Amino acid sequence: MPSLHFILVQLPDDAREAVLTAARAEFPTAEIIVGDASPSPANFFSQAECVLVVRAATEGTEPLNTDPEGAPLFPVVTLGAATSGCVDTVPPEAWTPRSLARVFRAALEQHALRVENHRLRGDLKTVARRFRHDVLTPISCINTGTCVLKIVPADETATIAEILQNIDASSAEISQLIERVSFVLRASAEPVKMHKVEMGEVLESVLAELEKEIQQASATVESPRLWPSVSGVPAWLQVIWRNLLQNALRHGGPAARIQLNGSIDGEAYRFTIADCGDGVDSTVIPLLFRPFEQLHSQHSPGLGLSLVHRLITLQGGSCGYTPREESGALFHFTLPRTSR
Amino acid sequence: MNVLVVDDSPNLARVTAVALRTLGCVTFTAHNTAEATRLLGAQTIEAIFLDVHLGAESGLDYLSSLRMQPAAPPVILFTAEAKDDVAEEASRRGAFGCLIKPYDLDDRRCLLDQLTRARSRAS
Repeated sequence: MPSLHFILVQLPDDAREAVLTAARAEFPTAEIIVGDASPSPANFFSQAECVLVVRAATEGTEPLNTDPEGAPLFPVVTLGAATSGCVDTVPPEAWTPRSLARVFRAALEQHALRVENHRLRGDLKTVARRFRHDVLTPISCINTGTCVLKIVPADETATIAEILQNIDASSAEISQLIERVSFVLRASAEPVKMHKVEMGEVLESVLAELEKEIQQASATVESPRLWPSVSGVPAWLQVIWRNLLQNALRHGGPAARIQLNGSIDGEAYRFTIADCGDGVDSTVIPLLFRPFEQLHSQHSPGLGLSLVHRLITLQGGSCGYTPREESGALFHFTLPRTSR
Repeated sequence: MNVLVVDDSPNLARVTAVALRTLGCVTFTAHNTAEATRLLGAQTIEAIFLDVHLGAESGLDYLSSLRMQPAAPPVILFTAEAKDDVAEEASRRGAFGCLIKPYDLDDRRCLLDQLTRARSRAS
């Protein structure tokens, strides 16, 4: 379980001792913060952390605990009289350490289910809208190309070749889309056991697979000799590295020089992939790694980095992009050092 | 007729251009709004085929900005959104027509014919 923080807001005096006792007994490693106001999502902890807010019931002051996309951010336990008007208020007769411990545990479990429900609903909307859109584009290509082939004179061989090439490419695009979306959905829906994985072996296999693409791009890939063992899913790690490497090959400029690295960063391993291309336009940066479940709601670039984001999140890590000071792009992701 | 095709999918932009050429058009292609604006400044464009989803950009927003310019060419939008979702919005923003994916050559021919008739009436 990720690190847990209790935030106690304006607790009734006669509940304070029982809340502290319950929190310390049930969650001995949790950090307890006493605050004056409900936390704002804007100054929130990292996504890898978990927050439980315990607050006094007051009329009309439900805390804002969803992000702009409507995803639940943290569970809230409200203490107060049954007449306070708040839903799910814990009444004074239940302000005992044992009852409160049960309430806290239930609130965390319910929150986890709400988060998962939100993600699954988002996945469905993404398939219904974004996937539909993305697959209809190459289908339109094939439809139009087929119609043109019917009317174009047989001696216009260049036009015919161009259309056939487009039909081929569109067909490949449809296959890739189906494969990617299917991979995300399977990874998200089926429970997978984490293994101890040698990251060096994963990378070796991906680099061998991409050898031809690397040669065709006249690119060089610099990689340290030693890589750590991580806890993860080998097939997912391969997809992550393959996507990030193909991204660097496409956007790293002519004869791209791609640098891979891995280091310890606190409780996590941090992996980076850097290139010397033009970097990412500042208007596009906020759209990189857009969660798969949010792809239905806004214009955004391709599915590749959303797939990477989901696979890393499922393994307990995080990912991001940093512009390089000189020039080029630096993509990075973390994975926890301890097994989950 | 000089037609500008704006689509972030290189395949669809290319095949649309070929299709329009078979219908007698001279075509130019752009993959984003910056390229489209540059071509509009450099060429005499008489109609625009514009995708609603241009990667991170919105074709509908670009349509609105075009309609604010005097003598902007007529715009035919194409989209994979459900017809009712976009067609009304496209019309409200001043699009000449709207093609819903998956479409084929006849859909384009039909809209081009309407456009040619409209231009004849206007002249």
